[in-house]
Amino acid sequence: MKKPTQKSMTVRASAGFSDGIVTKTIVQFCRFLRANSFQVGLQETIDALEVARFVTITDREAFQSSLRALLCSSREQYEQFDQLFEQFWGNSTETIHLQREVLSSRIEVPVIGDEHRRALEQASKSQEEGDLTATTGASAEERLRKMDFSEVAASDLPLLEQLCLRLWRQMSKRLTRRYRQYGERGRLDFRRTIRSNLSRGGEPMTLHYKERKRQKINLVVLLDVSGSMDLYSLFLLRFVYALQQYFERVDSFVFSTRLTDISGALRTHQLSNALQMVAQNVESWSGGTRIGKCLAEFNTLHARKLRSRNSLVIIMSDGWDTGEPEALTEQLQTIKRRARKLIWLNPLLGLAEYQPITRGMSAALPFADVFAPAHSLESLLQLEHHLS
Amino acid sequence: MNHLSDIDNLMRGFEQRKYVADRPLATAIYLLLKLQRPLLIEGHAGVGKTETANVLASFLGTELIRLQCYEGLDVNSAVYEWNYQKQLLSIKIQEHAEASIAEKEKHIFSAKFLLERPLLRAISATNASPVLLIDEIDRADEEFEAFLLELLSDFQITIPEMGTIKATHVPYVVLTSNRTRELSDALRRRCLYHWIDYPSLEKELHIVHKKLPQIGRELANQIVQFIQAVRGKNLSKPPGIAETLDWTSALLSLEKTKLDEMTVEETLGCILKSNEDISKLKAENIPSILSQVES
Repeated sequence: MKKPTQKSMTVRASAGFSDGIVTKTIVQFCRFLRANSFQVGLQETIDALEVARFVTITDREAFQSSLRALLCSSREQYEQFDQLFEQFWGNSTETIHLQREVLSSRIEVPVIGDEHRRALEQASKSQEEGDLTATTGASAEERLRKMDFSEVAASDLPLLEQLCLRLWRQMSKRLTRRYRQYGERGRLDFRRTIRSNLSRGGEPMTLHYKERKRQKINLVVLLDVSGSMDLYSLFLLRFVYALQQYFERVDSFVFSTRLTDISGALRTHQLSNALQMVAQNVESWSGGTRIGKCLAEFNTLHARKLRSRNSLVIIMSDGWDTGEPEALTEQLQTIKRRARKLIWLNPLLGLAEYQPITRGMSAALPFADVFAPAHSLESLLQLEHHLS
Repeated sequence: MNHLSDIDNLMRGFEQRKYVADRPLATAIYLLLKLQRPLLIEGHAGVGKTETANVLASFLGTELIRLQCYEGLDVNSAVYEWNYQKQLLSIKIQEHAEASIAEKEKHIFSAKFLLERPLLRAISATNASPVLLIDEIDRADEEFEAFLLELLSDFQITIPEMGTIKATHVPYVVLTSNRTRELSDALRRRCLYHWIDYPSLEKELHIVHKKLPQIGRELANQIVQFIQAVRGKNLSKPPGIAETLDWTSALLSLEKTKLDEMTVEETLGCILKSNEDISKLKAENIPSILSQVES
């Protein structure tokens, strides 16, 4: 990469301004972007100044496009940029006047040398201390991760949704990678290797490997969509959808007074479509709960899908059950016998004062290998540790 | 040095190569050439992200080196690999030669036995800076992305048996992404950024006429308006410019001069690539979309 030469260079700049005003304004603009959660640091600022050396400010369109290419790093920022640019550089008569002056005059602006760099570093440091707005992006994320789904304000929903998708995707990446390592090439198969290379005088030109048997995990998710789960079930359903995308085999069901198989609906590729289909298919959305009866339905109709060594069963429910606890116990016993692990996720576990003493919940507890909260993004991400 | 004429030049050069680049894109490419920073292009499928690099290479008159990313892409298939078979044969042949072990070793780890993969080829170009296209970087793993980041900052590759190879002609790098995975901030910050949106009606018409000059004005108008309407229908895979062009050539070879319901239904497969989308559009009532399309 070419380094900028240290000699000063003629840059068209405003005569009405003092020396280096262009530099100063660009630095301010970078700060302005930073305050609007752009990731514009020292390096980007220096780059912007570098660009101003050969794309003149007076050619507004090229200048704007250049800074946009340089300072944006995502589509969202790309779309936000023009408005911010407009806001900062404005189009007031004053600017136009200045631009005219700029056009008619040439002054020397020093190329950024070490001194400038140091001053800039100083400036951005002191600004970091004083400028709280720059950190809002990160802290909002932190806050939303921990927030109970039932308390999320409507205005935060889009952000949370975005965040969920991103983190779940990352989580699933890690999970699939972990599984893929199992499936990596096995050990060298000497017999086949020597045999197939006999025609080449025994030199091992092509290598053969023993295939290692892959253990495929299959996942069965049972999501409670009864009235008491209303505040959580939509998020949990999205989570199920995310799981569905990454595990090779996921069977998902929703239940309240009846059990509905939604695997097919979730398998279509667009999330919004899938959610819509689920909404159309589920007759008993937001009704009462009869967990025992639903699990019985599962056991008679779908349990053949469970293969004891590699099936994980996840039940997401608050455990409010209007049926008899004995029925629940019996069904859980059956599931437990057939699955490798039974994970019970309960959103109410996020509440500090919550005790699992409802009849349903206390009947279920002895059978759960894992009993964990599911009220926030953070708690759902914890599931990663249990999925093995 | 006049940047204005340079950017104009770029736009004209691209246009001559039948690629309609708008000013912001031309400016981004100008910066790519000028600052020698990688350019990350994102956008929907089929809006011409990859084509940008092709045309840039042709414009600069240099070689285009393409690395298609996929899940599990590793350094061996992206950078270099030794030709083991050839090495083994060579060892066999040299078995009774007089050379010392060290010499033999040096021989089989020489350039003759090296299989250059795209990244190494891009670094070791000898004549002029090539254009290196790293296509669909979002499909590669995060480890590979980290490796790439390192490569893009010092443009050198170390091969333990041979030493370090440093680029004499730093390649012009274009990365594309379909946003199936979030790229790391570090990589994003390293790159210039450009977002290619679906084109406006005028721009798309311009592209169609440019690419398929034999088309009649009326048909072109109808096609582009129809496509633009379809994009507004919230489908899972809206048609890109690539689909517009496919469809146009299909209609041309069927010798159609006008869009009607039959024609559209018969050729819908050119623009929609999934059964769900096709049935969704049919449910939306094709005649009513057609009636909005003026010729």
